Parts: sequence; C-alpha cells; structure tokens
Amino acid sequence: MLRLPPFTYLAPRTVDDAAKALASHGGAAMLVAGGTDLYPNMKRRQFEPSVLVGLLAIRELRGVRGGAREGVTLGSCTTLSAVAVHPEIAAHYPALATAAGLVSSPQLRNMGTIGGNVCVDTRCNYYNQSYEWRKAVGFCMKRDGAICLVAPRSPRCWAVSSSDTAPVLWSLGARVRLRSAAGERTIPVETLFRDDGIEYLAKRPDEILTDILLPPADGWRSAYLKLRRRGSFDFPVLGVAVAVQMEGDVVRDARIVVGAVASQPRPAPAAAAALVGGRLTSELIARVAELAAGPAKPLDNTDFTHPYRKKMTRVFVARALASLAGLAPAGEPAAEVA
Amino acid sequence: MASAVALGTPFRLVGRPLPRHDARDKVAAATAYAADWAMPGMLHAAVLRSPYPSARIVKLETAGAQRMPGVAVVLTAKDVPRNTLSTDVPGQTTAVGPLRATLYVLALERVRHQGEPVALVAAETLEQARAAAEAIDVEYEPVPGVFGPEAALAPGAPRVHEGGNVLAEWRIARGDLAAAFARAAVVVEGEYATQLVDAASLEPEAGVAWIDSDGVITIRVSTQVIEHFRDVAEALQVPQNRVRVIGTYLGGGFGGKEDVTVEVYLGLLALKTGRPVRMVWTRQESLLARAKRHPYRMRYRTGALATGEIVAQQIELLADAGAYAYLSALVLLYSTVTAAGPYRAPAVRVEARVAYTNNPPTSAMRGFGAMQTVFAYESQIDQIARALGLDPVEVRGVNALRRGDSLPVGQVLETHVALPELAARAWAALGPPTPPRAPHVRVGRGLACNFQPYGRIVWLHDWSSAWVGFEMDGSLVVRCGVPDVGGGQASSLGQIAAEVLGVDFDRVSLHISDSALTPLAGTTTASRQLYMSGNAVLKAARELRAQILSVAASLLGADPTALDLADGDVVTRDGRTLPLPTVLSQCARVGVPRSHLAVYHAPAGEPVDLATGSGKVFPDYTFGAHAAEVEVDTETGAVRVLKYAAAHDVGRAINPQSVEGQIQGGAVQGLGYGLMEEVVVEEGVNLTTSFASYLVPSAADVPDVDPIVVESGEGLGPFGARGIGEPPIGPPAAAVANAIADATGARVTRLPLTAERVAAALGLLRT
Ligand SMILES: Cc1cc2nc3c(=O)[nH]c(=O)nc-3n(C[C@H](O)[C@H](O)[C@H](O)COP(=O)(O)OP(=O)(O)OC[C@H]3O[C@@H](n4cnc5c(N)ncnc54)[C@H](O)[C@@H]3O)c2cc1C
Ligand code: SF4
Repeated sequence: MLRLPPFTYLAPRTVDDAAKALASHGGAAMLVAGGTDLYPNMKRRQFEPSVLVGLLAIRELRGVRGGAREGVTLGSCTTLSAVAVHPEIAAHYPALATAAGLVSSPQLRNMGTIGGNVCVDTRCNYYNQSYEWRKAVGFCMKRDGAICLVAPRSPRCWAVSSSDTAPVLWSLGARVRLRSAAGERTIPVETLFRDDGIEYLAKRPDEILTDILLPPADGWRSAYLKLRRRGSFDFPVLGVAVAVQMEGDVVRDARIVVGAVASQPRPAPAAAAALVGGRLTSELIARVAELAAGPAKPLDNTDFTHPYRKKMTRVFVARALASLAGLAPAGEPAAEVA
Repeated sequence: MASAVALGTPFRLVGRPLPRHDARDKVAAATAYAADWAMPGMLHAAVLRSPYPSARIVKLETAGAQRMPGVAVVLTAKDVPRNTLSTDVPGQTTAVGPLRATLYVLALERVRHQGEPVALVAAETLEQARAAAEAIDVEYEPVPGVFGPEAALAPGAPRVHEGGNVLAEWRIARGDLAAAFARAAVVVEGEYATQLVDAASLEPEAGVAWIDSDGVITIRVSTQVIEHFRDVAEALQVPQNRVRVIGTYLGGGFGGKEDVTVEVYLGLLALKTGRPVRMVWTRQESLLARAKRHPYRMRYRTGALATGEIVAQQIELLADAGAYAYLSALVLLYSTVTAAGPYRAPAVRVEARVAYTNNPPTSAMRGFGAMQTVFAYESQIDQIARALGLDPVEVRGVNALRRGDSLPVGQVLETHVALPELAARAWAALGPPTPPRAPHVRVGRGLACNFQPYGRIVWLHDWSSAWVGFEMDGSLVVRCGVPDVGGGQASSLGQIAAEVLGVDFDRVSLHISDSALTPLAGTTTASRQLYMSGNAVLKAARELRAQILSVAASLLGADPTALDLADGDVVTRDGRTLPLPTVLSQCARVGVPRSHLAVYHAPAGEPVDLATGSGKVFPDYTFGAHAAEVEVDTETGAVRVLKYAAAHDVGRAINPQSVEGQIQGGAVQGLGYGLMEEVVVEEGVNLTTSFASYLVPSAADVPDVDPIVVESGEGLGPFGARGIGEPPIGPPAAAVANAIADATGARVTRLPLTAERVAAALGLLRT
C-alpha cells in the first residue's frame, strides 16, 4: 500500500482558529475536510504539506440551515451522505441531492464533504498516478514537471474538473462564503472556478470555504445526469446539470452547466437561452441539446474518447430536460454507463 | 446419464454445503494473510523497477543508497548467485525462437518491460527502504522496442530477445479444409480481439522470509505453488532441501501467483542479511508489472451446412507474450486445443503463435488460454445460427461433442458431455423476457458454451500426495501441500476424508501448503486440486479406513466388510458400536499404523504432435453453458446485464457451496473481463496502475448469477468430480456479446464491450 508522507495535523474547533493556523503556517499548510481527495493525492506525492488544518472538528461548518422559501445554507463540512438524503434538498434542489448521492461510493460519501467536493482537485490520466509512475514517465507541469504530456506544446494544464456537485451548484445559482484571517467574502460559485488545470480555484489558499448558499427554490426544477463506467466509485467523465424555472408550462429562466469536460464546469448559455420563453417539447429539447454539446471540448485525458463524450453531452442534456418536462420514463434519475 | 459412481450412494458429508472451516476467520479478519506476518527484527523490502519498457542499463550505482539511514542491504543482478534462469519452451524447436527461454531474477544490462525489477533494498522501515530504492543511481539508454505482436513479427522488428520474437507456435491440421468449405451453406468470418487484463486479486503479492533456527531459508508467502522452493534454491544456489516455502491462505490468486513473485527476492534478502524480511507489493506495482492475461487477435472462418452442422473451421491465433516467456507457450497450447470450441468439425486448421514484445509479461490467468478463444468461437456459432435462422440452443445441440468423439487434436473424449442439457437449462433459467423499460432501451439474450481442461497436460506426469491420520482421541488430521487460494481447496479435502472415515467435519484438522511438512500436492492451478489432491486424500483415507477396520474386525470378531465408520465409532451391521479410540489403542498395540500416506498419479501420456492429431493432451474437460439477458441503451451504448445463469457439469459437487461460489465468482470475473477490465498500455507504458483506472466490477455492476450445478458423476476426481475453478470465467464475455447482437443487431468483436464500442457498433458515433 502507498503511505502518507509525514505531517502535523491540527484540529481547530472554530473557523477563526483554523484561519489563524492557516495564516501562521503560510504555504506549508493545507486544509483538509474528509480527506477523501487529499489523502490519496498525498500518498501519490501530489501534495506534501507539512501541516494539515483539519476542519471536521469545527461544529459551525456542519449542517444544513434554512428552507426552500428563503434559501438553504449548507455548512461546507456537511457530508455528501447528509446532503444526498436531506429532505429539503431532495424536494427542492433535487439535482444537488442526486449529484451528492452519485459521488464515489457510500463509504467515501460518509467521509467526504460538500466543501471538499467543490474544491476537489482536477484530474488527468497522466496526473492521477503514483509518484514512481509519474517519475518514470516524466513529470508534467501540474506537479514536479514543466510540460503538459497531453498537449506538449500547451502553455497550460488541461486537467479536468471532476466534481459532481460543482456544475449543479452553478446551475442552481449558488454562492459560497469564504473566510480567512483577513476577512470574509461571499461570491457566486461560478467565480470560484478558473479555467486552468493547476490553479483551478479563484480563491487564496488561506481562504476557508465555510458555507454554500442556495437561493430560494422559487419555481426552479433541476436534474443532474452523470456518465461513468460503473455503478459506483467512478468520477464523472461527463456531468450534466440543468435547472429551469417554470411559469406555467413556459420556461422563464434556465441554466445548463456541463461538468468534467474542461478545467472548470462549463456553462452552455446559448442553449439555456434557447429554452427561455419556450415550452419543453421534444423538438425544443433536441435543439437545445444540440446547442449544449457545442461548447463541450473534452480532451482525451480522462476516460472515454472525446467524440464519444461530446455525443453523450447531447444525449444527456436531452434526457435531463426530458425528465424535467415529465417526458422521460420514470425510474431513471441518473444515467450511468457501464 | 451414465455414471461411474452410483448416484444413489448415500453420502454423509459429500454433497452437503458445509460452511468452510476457514470462512469464519476470514469474516472476522482473523486469518493471518502473508502481509500480516511480522517477526522480531524484521526488515522491510522494496523493489526498484525500470521506468522504461525497453532500455539498456548503462549505470547502476548503489553505494549512495547503501549508506542511507536504516538500509541493511542493496542488491542488484550481480549479487544474485544465479541470476539467469532458463526454462524449456515446451514442444518447440529452435526453428521457432529460442528452445529455452531466459528469465532474470533482476535485470542485467537490459530492461525489456516497464516495471521490470532492477534492484532490491531491505531496510529497518518501509519508508527507508523506499527512499533508498529511489536513491539508487541508475542510468538508462532507451532502445527501440516493439509494442504489439503484429509489430513484433514484422520484418526488421527490434528483437526483444536474441533468437527472434516468435516465442512459440502450434498448429492443428485435420481434414480437407477446402472440400469442407465447398460443402458449406454458410460461411462466417470474424476477427476478434481480446485485451490485456490483470488477475486483480484483493491480496497483493506478499511474504516474509527468515532463516530458521535449523538454518533453513523459510519463506511464508502468498503463492499458488509452494514447489517454487526449488526455484528459490536454484537462484540462491543452495540445496533444495535448505529452502522451505510455507503457503498462506490466499486473498485470491487467479493465476497471478502461479509464477514466482516475491519468494526469490525474499530468500535473497534473508540470506544476505540473516534477518527476517517482509516484502509486500503495492497495488500500483502489482498492476504495473506482474504477469497478466494474454491479449489475443483471433481470425476465424467457419463453414456450416444448412442444418447448422459445422463442417470447417479455419483459425489463426496471435497472442502477446510481453517481455518474458513465463507460461506463454503452454497458454497458447490450451488456446490451440480449444480453438474450435466444444463442437464437432470434420475439418479444422489452427495456426497459433505467441510473440515477445516490450509490453508487460503475460502468463497464467484463470482460463489459461482456453478462455480467450470462447469469445471467438461462440461469436461465430451465434452468427451461424442467425444466418440460418436457428435457435441458439438448437445450433449448439446439433454441433455438441459427444462421448467417443475426438477433438481436432485427436484426443478422444472418454466421459459424458452434458453440453446440450447445460445449454437448455441455462437458457431456460432466464425465465420470461424482461420488457424494455424505456423506448431507447433494447433487451436481448445470448448464450455461450465452453470447455476447459482440468488437470495438467498428460505428458507432465502429474501427481499429488496426502497424509491422513487419526489421533488417539479419534480426531483426524489431514496433511496435504495444497495451497488454498480461497476456493475452498483445503476444506473440500477435509470433507472427503471425514466422509470416508466417518467423523464429523469439525473433528478434522487441516495442515496445508508447507513444502517441508506437508506431502507435496502440486500447484493450485489448472483446475486440478480437487481432482488431484482430492484423489490423493480419498486414496489415503480409504487405505486408512481399511487399516482401522481390519483391527476393529479382529476386536469384534467380525468381517471387516461388514463394518462401517460412522459418527466417530466403528459400527456393525447388527447395530453394535465400538468407540474409535478403543480401536486406535489396539492399532498402537498391534503395530498397525493409524495414518496413511498416498500418492495419486494422474493418467500420463506422451507428448503429441498436434498437427497430425495424434492423441491425448489433457486428462479431461469441464463443460459449461451461460445465458445472459442484457439491456442496451441505444443512445449511449451502455450495457447492463439483467439476468445471468451459468450451468456446468461438475461431475460431483463435493461441497455445493464452494462449487456455486466458483461458478458465481468466475461468472462475475468473466463479466468484468467482458464489460470493463483492460490494462491500457501505450508504447509499453501502462496507464492503468491503480483501481481508479483499472476498473473491476463493483457490486452495483453485476446481476445475481444463478448457478446451475449438473452432476453427471463422470469426472476423474473423487466421487466423479470435475474441476470447476477455471471453467466459469470462459463464457460471460461471449454470452454478453451475443446478447447485445440479439438486442440490437450490432456485433462487437473487441473486448471489453464498453459503452463507447457498443455505441460505435450501433453507428452512433458517425458524424
Ligand atoms: C475512489 C474515489 C472516488 C471518487 N469519486 C468521486 C466522484 O465520483 N465524484 C466526485 O466529485 N468526487 C469523487 N471523489 C473525490 C472526493 O471523494 C470527493 O470529491 C469528496 O467530496 C471530497 O471531499 P473531502 O471532504 O473528502 O475533501 P478533502 O480531501 O478533505 O479536500 C479536497 C480538497 O479541497 C480542499 N478543501 C476541503 N475542504 C475545504 C474547505 N472547507 N475550504 C477550502 N478548501 C477545502 C482541500 O484542501 C483539498 O485540496 C472520489 C475519491 C475517491 C478516492
Ligand atoms: S493536462 Fe497536461 S499538465 Fe495537466 S495534468 Fe494532464 S499532463 Fe499534466
């Protein structure tokens, strides 16, 4: 078995203490919540922090507050299991419950947190490998090296955003609260992400994601579909989040966000716009699905080839919309591919 | 069905699904697997492996690593008393590559595959050992390699070994092929590709070695073959009786622990340091470098009459041996002999080759060459049925081999062939069809049959031995060198001994898998242990029974044939009982042994010339038929197996629970192979070195497997049992491929049957 490198573990009880600990150790420290992403990465020597600031002992970061009427606030350390079964979320933000419930396996969902899922590292076939393997093949710029092995002439890293909940939160119009020793700010979740495989988060390392704020449900319906090989464990090779706000049977507003096709979740604004003012008929859905597949430009650095994933984007957007329109056959909340 | 043993015989224990003696400990995590062992003063070992698939070692400097903290020893090829090991490539001449294949304990001057071991380190802690391995100063000079068997056979291809890239070649030529094709009403052609896969046992390669107080190099290791003590002795250049291998209960082997893994390294390190040493490969190492299942390219041309009768089979097989020979020549032999399937065919041509490449080495894995061919021959027969409008069960019935038929290689089948019954029962077990749950979903069904040899090739003169003895209190001891890989190998032996000797199963103590203290039983491979060691135990138990009963007869003044052993007593026909301990004391007094050592020799034979079809290759075969119902998503290509039934003629189910376990486990492993497992290697570089990328099925991906156990009583094993370890892995991939074709009309000829491949076959990816 691979082993963790040595480190000091701090377990502050308040966000303030955590922020202070982070500030005092500078770049040597990292945050850890459930550790289901970070620890395996540390075993592969992708991160070697000398100090870990653990967040799980901080009470204020756990739990779900509020309701669909005024909006829901999720503490960042709420486990994915808790999110998946929370009645208010399941009823009014079903895409989020679905996405949380489709992350990896039951054991990992019991440990893994929603905050950790939003901040989860980007992935690539040449990066998600042991240290020895990466050393053997040649390090890439995401860690220890200078070039990109997927696109050797590229100045940037194309590692893929692989969070299940990130595209959903974006499609729901969520905001996130960030706190550091220097202060606090609340920003739309889409501004948390950057289109870069290495610097994929637009937050400072000393900022702690404390809360995720969902707006009032207000007539929004949502769905999430995930493409993966197996019925468990696997990261998404494609995640499609759609949210539509209905007024009678006419779409008043819509968002479509596609996950696992780029270094950040990728919105499909033209496709979403084409929905607005229309009825969710099969014809409209087909047209919108075609538009949504346009911006997806997956690289061949995760599972399945990009032409297939692009094709599937169309199928999945159509299916997600059909399920919101009540056109989809029952009993198919999440498409999975074996 | 005819039977060798009267099926009416009332058994006490045989045929009962007794819980295995080792089950409780495993569930309670009390089993001491190889990696769980620790000893005072134990060192930890690490292996330095080649980063390159093909390179020369131009510098190998260990002095720096040697001086690192905690390091006890650093070893390279020059420290190995005998680093170059040669093995015969069976049946081959110098015309076909090297007659003897060469293996190196540690790489010498040249590395031929990524992950090839170059140096060993033992240190006080695992971290120190790994740090020192990394600090070894190696310089490589990459040299051109070959990365596929076709490329390896192309003119001018770089040579992996001296003597050329063809490692082995087998041919079968029976009947007049051209004339047979001329008679055919339908000819089906197909090219099939199977992939490189890993045994992926939960337990990695692991062991601990120490020099025991008697000076014997003792290695406690997870292995399917304790006889590798001889290989250790050869590499270390010590007498064979100075090496002892103690086999542990395995957390899975599947052929991956048939070749030597850690034991030579451990022996070396213990010998050089004089201290106990532990080596456990990481999952990454194991996936990277240990021997895997051969990928095959198979070209088939099959001709059949309008009745569905197959008249001609023209077959070309090409397999990838990777960088070293291991068991490739034998694996290919299994493929050659089984290539035409369990079907009659008057004219058959098989040309099979296996080539060296700079890919990871391939060797034994459950099914051993007889399983890759199933995908091809069952896809072919399915297409014949479709072309002729025949039912899948019917077409197999028309063609099924029967007792007395001879295989293309000339071997005459001497036992019952239950194929038509198996096919019919598996097919019927699917029950009423499942309606598609959505408009974009289609449901279809597929059938696939197979046959798998059990027992070793007859010219290897296989044997097994076992010792069975009573203690004075009437409890029973069985000693047998059988490695238990998790299939219940040991438990079934206990059940057989208890049956014959009339004691309860929990009165039996089983001592297994120790090359010094248990009679050697041969390898737990080739579906042979129940057959071979079952017969050895049966023989020993029967002899012991005769010894005990003769003494009891004299005490009772009765005829020994009128006595029985039951519930720990000797009983007479008229209901008198004599406690076993009384008889055993009498044995001691009169000098009759209370134990017996038996050796069972399998029927042996001479090597055959395959091409002229001259005779017997394997002792016997196990036949099977699997049926699958699948749904195919016609928009994504996703395949889900809805129902699955697997029927095998196991001859006799000694322990039905273990038999069903083998059938279910084999079917699930076969479904993983069929649907998702693949070691992806690009230019010799393995991209799938963790379970995040090497995908094995999870519980969410497999259906319930309905095991159908047919007992013809016709096997060569104890009480008419046949081997069932390997056979169930053969049919699943073909059954699913046939079901996909049934559902959609699209035939996928390349494994695994991923959603993307199915989508391509459905024409979804055309732009
Ligand atoms: C086998 C396996 C399968 C997986 N499958 C999936 C999958 O299908 N889908 C998926 O989305 N993920 C998957 N994951 C990744 C991971 O389990 C989840 O993303 C999980 O939600 C991460 O949460 P965590 O609390 O464990 O994060 P951690 O590992 O604790 O942290 C992850 C990262 O986020 C940072 N971080 C954590 N919390 C905060 C915070 N409050 N503020 C700021 N930074 C923070 C950490 O510093 C770290 O960089 C899988 C992981 C494994 C091992
Ligand atoms: S995209 Fe390129 S730089 Fe980024 S992780 Fe993959 S190989 Fe490395």
